[in-house]
Amino acid sequence: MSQVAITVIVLVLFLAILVGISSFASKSNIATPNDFFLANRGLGTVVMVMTTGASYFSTWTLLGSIGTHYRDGVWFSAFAAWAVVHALFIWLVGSRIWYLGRKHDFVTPGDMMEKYYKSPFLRILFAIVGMIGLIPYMLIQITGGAFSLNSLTNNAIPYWVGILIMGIFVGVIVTLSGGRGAAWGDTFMGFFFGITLLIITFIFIKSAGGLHAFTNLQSVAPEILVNKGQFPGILETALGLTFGFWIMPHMWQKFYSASSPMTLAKTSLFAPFWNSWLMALGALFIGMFAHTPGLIPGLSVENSDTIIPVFFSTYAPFFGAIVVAAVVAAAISTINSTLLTTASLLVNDIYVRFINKDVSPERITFMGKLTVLLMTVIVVIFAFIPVAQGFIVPVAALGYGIVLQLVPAAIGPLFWRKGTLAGAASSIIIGETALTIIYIFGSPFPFGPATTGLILGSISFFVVSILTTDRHEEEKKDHHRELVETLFPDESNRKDVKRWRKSSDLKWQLSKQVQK
Amino acid sequence: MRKQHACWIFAFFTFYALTFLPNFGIFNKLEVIAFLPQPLAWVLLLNAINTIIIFVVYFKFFKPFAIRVEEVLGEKVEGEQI
Repeated sequence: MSQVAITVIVLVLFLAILVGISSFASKSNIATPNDFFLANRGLGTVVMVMTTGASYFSTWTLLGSIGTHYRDGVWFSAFAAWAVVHALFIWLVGSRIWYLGRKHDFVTPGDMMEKYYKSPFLRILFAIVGMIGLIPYMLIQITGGAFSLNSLTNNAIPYWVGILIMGIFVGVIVTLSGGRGAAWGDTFMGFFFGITLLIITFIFIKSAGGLHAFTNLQSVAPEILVNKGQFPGILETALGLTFGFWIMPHMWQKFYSASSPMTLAKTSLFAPFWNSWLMALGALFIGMFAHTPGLIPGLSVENSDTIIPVFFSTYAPFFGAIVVAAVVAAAISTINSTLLTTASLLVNDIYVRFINKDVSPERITFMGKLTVLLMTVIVVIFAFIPVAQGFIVPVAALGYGIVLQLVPAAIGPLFWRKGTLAGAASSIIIGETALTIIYIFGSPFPFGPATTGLILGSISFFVVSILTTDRHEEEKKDHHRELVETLFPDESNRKDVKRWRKSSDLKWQLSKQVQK
Repeated sequence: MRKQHACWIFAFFTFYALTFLPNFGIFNKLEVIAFLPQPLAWVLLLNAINTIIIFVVYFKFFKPFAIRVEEVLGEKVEGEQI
C-alpha cells in the first residue's frame, strides 16, 4: 500500500474518532455564549490540564521547536525553562482571572477591561489586538499540518491540497463542537500527541546512541552543544511564549472555563511535567539528535521544520502516518480554541456590545458558529501567501508578540490598583506602534520588535498612570482589596476577613454559577 | 503570608533568570556533565529547583486559597438547602 493511501486511511480514522468525541461532548451543549465559548465554566482537572496544554502546544512544538533545536541547539533550551513559568502563572494570574471571571460572569478579556477601567474603548482594543495576534497563530496550525502531509508523502499530497484538507477538517470540527467538544477533543488529542512525542523521543535517543548521544555529537556538531549567546533574540521569543500562556485570549478564556480554583491548582502541579519535562525536552532531544550522522537522510536547514515526517517517511511509513495524525491533532487542538475565541471576541466584544444588545443567546451562538467558518476561510486564504510559509517559530512568535503588548494594561485589574485607563490605552497604542515600526523598518537597538514594544508600553503604562487619575478610584481600591482578602485573608484584619466571608455578593455569584 | 509569598516568587524568578547565564558565556563550555551538555545541564538543574517551588506554592498558597473559595461556595449552597 502506498504512503499516500496509508496516510489518508490513518487520518480519516483519527478524524472520525475526533468527530465522535466532539459530537458526544456536544450533546449536552446549551445555546448560550457561556456554554459555546467556555464549556459552561465546568472543566474538571483532567480536561483542564489537557486542554491548556493542547491549546498552547501546537505545530510550533511538534515541528517548529524541533526545527529550532536542530538549527540552534541548546540556545533554545530556554523553551524548557519558560515552560515551567507557566505553572506559576496559573497561580499568579490564572487564579485572579478565574475569580473575577466567575464573580462578574466575564466571557472575554475585554469584559474584564471594560468593567475595571470603565472603558468600552479598551474592550475594543483588547478584542482587535487579540484577533490580529491570533491570525498568525492559527495560520501556522494550517500550514504546519499541510507541510507534514507534504513531507511524509514526498510531495504526493501537495501543499495546497494539505491546506484545504486542514481547513475543511478544522472548520467542520470546531463548528460542530463548541467549547465543551473542543475541550474533550483536546483531551484526546493532547494524550495522543503527548504519547506520540514521548515514543519519538525514545526512538531518537536510542538511535543517536542512548546516554552517550550528546558525547557522540561533540565531534559532529559541537556548535549546537554550546549556547550561541544572542540574548535579545531568545528574550524576544521567550517573552512572547511565556506571557502568551495567559495573555493570549484563547488561554485567558481557559482560566474562565475551570470549574473551580482547585481545578486550576491541580493543573498548576501537572504543568511543569507536561509543558517542560515532556513537551519542551522531547522537542530538544529530537531536534538536537537529528544531527546524528546518517539518522535522517536528506535533512537540511531548509526542511528542518519537518524533521519528524521526513524521518518516518524514510523508516516507518505506517508510524509516520500516525505521527502526521499527531501533528494534525496538535494543530486542531490549538486552532479550535483560537477560532472559538476569535468568534467570542467578534460577537461578544463588538457585535453584542456595540451593535445589537438585544440579541438572543441562541442567535449569539449561531453567529459564533458563522464566525468560526468565516475565520477558517480567511486563515486558509492567508496560508497561500508566501510569507506565511516560512519557519514556524518566527511566525508564532509574531502572533505572541502582538498580543504581548496587552500585558501592561492587564496588570491593572489583576495586580496594580494605580494603573489608569489613560496608562492602559497608551501602553497598548505605544507598544503596538513600536512593534510595527521595528518589524517593518528594523531597529538601531539590539532588542526585537515585541521586546521593544513591551518595554516602551510598560514605561508608558507606569508613567501615564502615575500622572493621571481615574474617576472611579474608590471602586478600583475595593476591587483590589477584595482580591487581596480572597488570596491572602491572613493579611487583612479580622473585621475584613469577617466581611469577606459574609460577602453575600460573592456567595451569590458563585452559587448562581453552580446552580447553572 | 504575603512576604513569604513574595520571597518564594522572587526565588522562582531569580532561578528562572539564571537559566540565561549560558547566553552570557557562563556555564557554557563544550563539556558533557551527567550525559548532558553543560549549558543544558545548568538549565535543567534550575528547572528542577523551580518545579519543586511550584509544589511549595501549591501547598502553601494555591490549595488553601482554593479550599477557602470552595468553602464559601459550599456554605451558601448548604444554607439555601436548609
